[in-house]
This record gives sequence, structure tokens and C-alpha cells, in this order.
Amino acid sequence: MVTDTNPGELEELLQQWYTPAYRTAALLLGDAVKVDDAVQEAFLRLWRFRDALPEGDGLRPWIYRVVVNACYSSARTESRHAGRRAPQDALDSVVSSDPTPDEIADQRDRASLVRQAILSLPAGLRAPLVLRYYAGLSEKEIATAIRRRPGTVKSRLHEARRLLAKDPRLAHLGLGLSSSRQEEAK
Amino acid sequence: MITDGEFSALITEAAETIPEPTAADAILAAARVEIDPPSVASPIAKVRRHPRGFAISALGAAAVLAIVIAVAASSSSSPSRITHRAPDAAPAYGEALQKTARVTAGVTKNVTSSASSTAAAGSQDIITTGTLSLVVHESALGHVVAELQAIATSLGGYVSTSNVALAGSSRGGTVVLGVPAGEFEKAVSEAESLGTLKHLSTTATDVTGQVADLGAQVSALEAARTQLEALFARAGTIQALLSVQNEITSVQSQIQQLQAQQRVLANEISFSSLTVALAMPSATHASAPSRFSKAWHQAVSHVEGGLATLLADSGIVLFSVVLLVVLGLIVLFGGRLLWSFVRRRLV
Repeated sequence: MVTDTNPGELEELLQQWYTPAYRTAALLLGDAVKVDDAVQEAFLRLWRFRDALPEGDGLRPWIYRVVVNACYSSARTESRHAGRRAPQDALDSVVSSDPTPDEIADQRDRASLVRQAILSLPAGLRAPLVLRYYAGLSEKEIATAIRRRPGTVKSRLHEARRLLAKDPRLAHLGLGLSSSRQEEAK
Repeated sequence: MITDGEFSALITEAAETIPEPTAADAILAAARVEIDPPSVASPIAKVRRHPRGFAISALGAAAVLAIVIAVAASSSSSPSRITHRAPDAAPAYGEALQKTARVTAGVTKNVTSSASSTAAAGSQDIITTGTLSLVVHESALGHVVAELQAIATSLGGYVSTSNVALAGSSRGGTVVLGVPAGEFEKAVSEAESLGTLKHLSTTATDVTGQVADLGAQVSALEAARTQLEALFARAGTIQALLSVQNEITSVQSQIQQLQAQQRVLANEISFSSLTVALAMPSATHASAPSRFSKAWHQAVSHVEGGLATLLADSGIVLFSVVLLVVLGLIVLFGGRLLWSFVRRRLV
């Protein structure tokens, strides 16, 4: 019942989680319109099912789970309507997943290159990477968020880092795996 | 080579260079203002483009409009929602009118009412209040206060205020009783028997219209709240969700205010208030002097006043003349009496 809730509860939820959720979605999707839609959808779902959400430390992986699911939904919708949508360059983009050489020349800063590299990863690897290294979730929490086994999460994280290390845009950053991880990879 | 921590810092840096999203603040600000805020930054504009958002906003606005119309239309026609009525208040009022015929000399009794003749129908919501002035002997003051409390309790009421000085120069005070409306007349009659009645005033106010208005407003707002809750469940955007939630909060607050007024009114209808003012005989009922006594006191007062005035105005000369005349007359009459006595002896 609406009237049984604290009127400021949704405001608190938004104020605490909107920015990290938005940035996570931006790293996963890239497109500003899709990011807005996905984050809105995520918060609507969170609000409607707020009574079922865990409390305390258990809340964070669930928030990201809903955000990641909303991003996946948005991406699926995009792929279904890709033929009917306006061209990508006509939309407001946070970052372009396919930048031109001129844009690369203009965006020489490291952050921009990292974002582009992340967006070039397969979708299944992007979420664990972003949740681990941006959201700071443990492998177990990521497993909850993406509904995969911890072992799967671990291997996807490894694969994501391996691909980033090979990305020519990040070559100058020295993203190669540490020695222990190289041994694991062999 | 790069460690996990360094890699994490790199990704975090990449994320934090994404501009701070303004949509949350804009959505919250828009929701706080109204359902259809003025044009703001693009995130809101994007939200508004959502067809469900438009539909929800329009439905929200329609619901608010419905509240206003329903409240205005029902203020004079909807039935009362206050369940406790006071049909017995009308007989109390009628008996109070009869009491006017029993007025004794020197006692004022006023009965005023806004209920008019309709009160006799017994279907009105009446608030009855009364004021009673009693003169009681100072030795009985404490007993009278205790009796008033006993009267209230025995009739199912209570003493709402008691401010009585039992000693000192200003003995007396006021006791306010709250008694069930049906027992008001009995309370008046028992209270007035505790002393000498000096003044009785009762007022019966018909609040039937007010009760009906409040009931209608609460009904309309509850209906509006139900509609808003249905809208809330179907809200398609955060902006619509917050807007409808704010409307629900506002309507709920109005309902609670009106329900508080209903409770106060229902209590005033159910319990009549009787204010009993207690005073001492010495303070209000000093023994009246007789006409002869009054005349004597007046005469003495005038003589004293005249002498004083004469003395003041004539000075010592006139006073001496008067004194000599008086002394001369005393000597003259005394001498004649003495001569008469001596002559009788000689003869």
C-alpha cells in the first residue's frame, strides 16, 4: 500500500543509487538514450518490488542485478528495433562504441579510451568487469547480480581482462596480466 | 603489468568521467513542483516523451480535478459520516426552554440557540453548552466541588477544568463539567441544587451542516486517494510515480486533518459542557439594609457633613459666637431652673 510507505523512501533510493547505477549502465550500454531508459526501468522495478529487496549488505548486489537486467532488456530491444531506429550517430551518446580516427585523436585521454575498450567487449564479459572493477562487488556478489556461478564469474573476469590487455587502444597502458594470472591463463 | 587495484582505479576513473546524471534531481524537482512542471532539462523532456508517462500525468491531473469538483459539489448534499449523533440534545434544549418559565426573582436565565425549532425533530447534530452561577456558603465550598465531580462521574462524564480557591480572600472559582449530551439537563438540575442559583445560560448550536460538509469532504478525498493509488500501481516512469505519490501524500494529509475535525466535533456533540461558577455570599450577596436604616445613616452622614462644612467655612469667630450662644442658653435655662427650685423651698 502506497500510503504505508515513507514518502521520502523513493527519493532516498534515487539519491543514493542513481549515479552509480547510471554510470554502470553507461559503461554497459554507451548510448545516452538507452542508459536513461534502462536506469528508469531499473528504478521502477526496484520501487515496485522494494518489499522483496534484502536489507543491509545484501541490497547492493540486488540493485546492480536489476540495473544489469534492465540494461540487457534495453540492449535486446535495441537489437530488435535496430533496423527502425535512427542511426547511432544521430543520438546523444555518452561514448561511441565505434569512434572514428578523428574522434580517437580528439579523445586521447585515458578514461575515454578505457570506456571505448570496455564497450568493445562482448556483452557477457562487460557486466562482470564493470561490477567488479567499478561497482566493487565481490565475485560472489557478481554471481548473484548476473545469476551465474562464481566460477563462471571468475573465468569471465579473466577473459575480459585478457581481451582488454590485447586491445590496441590500451596497449600503452600496460594492461597485461600479472605474472600469477599469466600462469593461471596458461 | 597492472594489479587488480590499479585496474580497478582505471575503470573507476573511466566511469567517473561520465557526467554526473541530472535526471534523478530533475525528476525529483519536477515531482515536488507538480504533475506537469514547466520545461526543464533534457532528461525530463525525454521522460515526457514516454507515452505512458503522458497518460499517467493526464490521469493524475484529472484525479486532482475530480477531487476539487467532488468536494465542491458534495458539500451540501452528502450524508454525515459522524456516526455518533446526539438526539437527546434536543430534549435537553427543550427542557432548558421550559426552565425559563421557572425563573425566580433576581435570577437570570438565558437560553440561546442556533438550532431553532428544527432541534425538536431530534435528528440534528447539536452542541449544547451551559453556564451556571451558584452562591454557596464558604463552609460548603469544598463539599460543593466534590459534589460537582460526583455528578459528572455518575452521569458518565468528567471534570474537564477545575479552578477553585478554597481559602483566602478570593474564595470561589469555576468548575467545568463534560457530561453526555443526554444527561445535560440532569447535570444542570443537580448542580443548581448545590447552592443558590444566580444565573443560568444554555446554548444549543446546530452543527448538522458542518458535520455533513466534513463527511462529504472526507468521502470525496478517500475516493480520490483510491483513484490515485490505482494510478500509482500503473505509473510507467519515475516522474509519474513520484508525482502520483506526492498527490497521495497531500490527499492523505487533508483526510487526516478533516478526520481530526470530525473527532473534535463528534466529541463536542456527544459531551455537553457545563461551566459552574461558584461564589461566596459575602462577595456577591451582602445583606441589604432596610429603608429606615438607610435614612438614618444618610441623616447622620449629612449632619456630619454640614458641621464639617460650617466649621471649615466660618472659621474660629463664628464658631466662638455659636459656642457663646450655646453656653448662654445653658446658663439661662440652668438659672431659671435653679430659681424655680429655690422659690419653691422658700414658699
